[in-house]
Amino acid sequence: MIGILCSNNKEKFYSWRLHSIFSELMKRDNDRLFVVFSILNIDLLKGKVKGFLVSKTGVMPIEADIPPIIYNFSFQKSSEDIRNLRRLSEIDNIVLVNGTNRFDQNMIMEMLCSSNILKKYVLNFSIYDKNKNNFMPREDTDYVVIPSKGSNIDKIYYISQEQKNTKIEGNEYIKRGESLDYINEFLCQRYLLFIEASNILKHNNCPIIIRTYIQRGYNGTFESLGRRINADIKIDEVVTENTDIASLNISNYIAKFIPSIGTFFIDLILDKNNAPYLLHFGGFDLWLLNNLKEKEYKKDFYKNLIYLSEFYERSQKGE
Amino acid sequence: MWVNIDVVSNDKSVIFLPEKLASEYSSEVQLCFGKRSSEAIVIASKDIKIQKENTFEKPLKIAITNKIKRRLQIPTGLTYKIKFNADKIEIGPVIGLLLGNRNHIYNKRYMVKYSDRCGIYKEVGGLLCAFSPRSIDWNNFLAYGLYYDPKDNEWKYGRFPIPSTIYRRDFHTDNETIKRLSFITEGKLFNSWRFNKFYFYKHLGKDKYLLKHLPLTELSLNYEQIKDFIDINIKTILKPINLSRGRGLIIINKEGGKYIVEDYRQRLPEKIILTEDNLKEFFDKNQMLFNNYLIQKQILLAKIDGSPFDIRIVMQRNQKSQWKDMGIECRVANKNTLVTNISRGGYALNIEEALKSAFPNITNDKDIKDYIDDLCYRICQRLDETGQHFAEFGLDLGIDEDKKIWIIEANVFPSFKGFKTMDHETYLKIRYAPIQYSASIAGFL
Repeated sequence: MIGILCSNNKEKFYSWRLHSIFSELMKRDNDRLFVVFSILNIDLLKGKVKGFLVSKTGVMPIEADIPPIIYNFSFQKSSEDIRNLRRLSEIDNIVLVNGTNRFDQNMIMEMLCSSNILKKYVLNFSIYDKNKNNFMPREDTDYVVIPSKGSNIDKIYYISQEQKNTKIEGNEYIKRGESLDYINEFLCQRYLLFIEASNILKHNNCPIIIRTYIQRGYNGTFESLGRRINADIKIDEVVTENTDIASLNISNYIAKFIPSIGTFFIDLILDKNNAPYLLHFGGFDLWLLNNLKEKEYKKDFYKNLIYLSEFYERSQKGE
Repeated sequence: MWVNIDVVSNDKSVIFLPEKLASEYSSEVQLCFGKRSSEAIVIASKDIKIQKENTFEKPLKIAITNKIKRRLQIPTGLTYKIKFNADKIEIGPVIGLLLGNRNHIYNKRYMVKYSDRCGIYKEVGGLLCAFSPRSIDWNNFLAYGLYYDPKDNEWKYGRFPIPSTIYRRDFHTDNETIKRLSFITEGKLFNSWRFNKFYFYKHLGKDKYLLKHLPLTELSLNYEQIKDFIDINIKTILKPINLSRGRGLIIINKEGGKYIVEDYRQRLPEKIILTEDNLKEFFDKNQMLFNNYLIQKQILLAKIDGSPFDIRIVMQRNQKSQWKDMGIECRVANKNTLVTNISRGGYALNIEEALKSAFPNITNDKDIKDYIDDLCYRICQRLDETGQHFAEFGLDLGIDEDKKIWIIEANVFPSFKGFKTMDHETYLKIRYAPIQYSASIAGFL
């Protein structure tokens, strides 16, 4: 049995969603089954979970042993739940894929900068600590600003310098020198990354962001599951091929430091020569489950979950 | 000898040394850095001159080819020591801090807590790195993690060889991985094992001298056994065998046929008075108290201003691998609690102050301190007999109202919070000691 850890009170939603993706792919009744549960329904002392069994025929409530392989598709908010997730990850003989789904972006950028080959994917950036007020954006530079702890795409701010005004997000003008006040107001996290982005490709005055979904599968290797773009534009195939390669290179290197990554996404921006740069490294994205429409993608997603489980099982047996 | 390493472009494996040093070697040597090594040709360079003064600040500049740098994965820009043996040249030390499995949180900010240890860097030099067991590339003897850069006084990401000595800083790693690393480092992984409280009691209890200092202890099995234990010993304490810092404690005293239960399992302790029937119900509801808990006769600790105190002795191995008492602090319990942990709101005193406050007429405080030193030394020796590699213990002792010394527990992963405010110099010595010990067992101090 393979475990799927979902956010609290979303067990039914995830179970039926997964069932709709998997049912046509589960060919035999004895195919691998999935148990969906939340952190609230794990009894670490007894080694049991309560949740829903996803099989070829449907979804039914179940109480089972904690599965040896668990894919974490959850976001934990309370400190108690985070503590329990940590305890779960510390149990011997249980593999938690996606130990977290929220990454420190500064950390990811610095990891990439430690590689002579991959630092080309990182634009110059500065860390702004709101409490220390330790950074002042330059007036001659455009920036993309993201919270260090990660974010969804609509919390990414773009500051461009045009004539005497500073423009944020392409639709709101504020006075030059006041962009920090604006950022302080609208981004609540303490640490923010100011990524220098003067030469990036834009559409309607916003940076074009290509999100590539990556999944680990056969023999633990990464593959691209698909992508989405934040603008309704057609991107040249050569460019997307390039962003796929960049995403896979980034994945392979980050996995050396954080090996638990399994299903995640990478947001890239492009410069005017179409060279890709990392904007944001994220964990599981629910959008993926809701938008896996083509059978090929569904099949890849399903098979990767199975293949990676088998890979970890073999590793645990020392094969 | 202190060295800085320059890298020159060349497709051969070469190390360039001053003529005087190069002349000691015929042609090829084994060049080692951490647990990686490579054959290298030694070439005498007229450009490299041995200076009269060789210090951390004024190291000898040597050079290697980029092929050697790649093979050994040596970060340049650091100041190393170099050891010349008959057929081997070793650059180092490469000291590793073995972190846990939460790889996604190991960043510069996380590593700040290790930065005060780096105050000793100028004495030790080399590569001080931190890594998770999950980020080891076993096939290539490499680890991915963070290393200390003294120039910027911060930790940076990188890839480096599996270190030649490893200071274990987390105890959630599976035993197989620890065994594997111990094997690779030829036993130079220390704090290799965390024993539980009951093992500690049983192991020490086999030594007659130490047994005299151990409070009566049993593994908690069932209600009848616990009740009998309380009825006989009157003042008792239930402790989880695997937790530290006073977590999970329950103190049960019998008074006038009633059972006074002080439950410290939550942040705010709860005190309840129970009849015999209630006590049974309490244990029926708390079955976990029969699983990985022990019951112990409570020591009536001596008190300071009405609050009990215990003694934390930090025992560490010095550069000669001998056990040394590096610091003693007495931890006085917070008012209205019997738990002495500073994390529970207590405060720290030095032992002289504590003994004088607890026993105003005391004249033999030096004898007591010597007695404690000797007892701690014996405990460390006894724990060494487990065959594990230990280099640091926080030993908790108690002194009762008759000045008898009791052994409470040993922490393999002790905190030194009290020293930080009470005696910063001692605190830093304690923080440095494992790094110095690492360098010494690697042969670089």
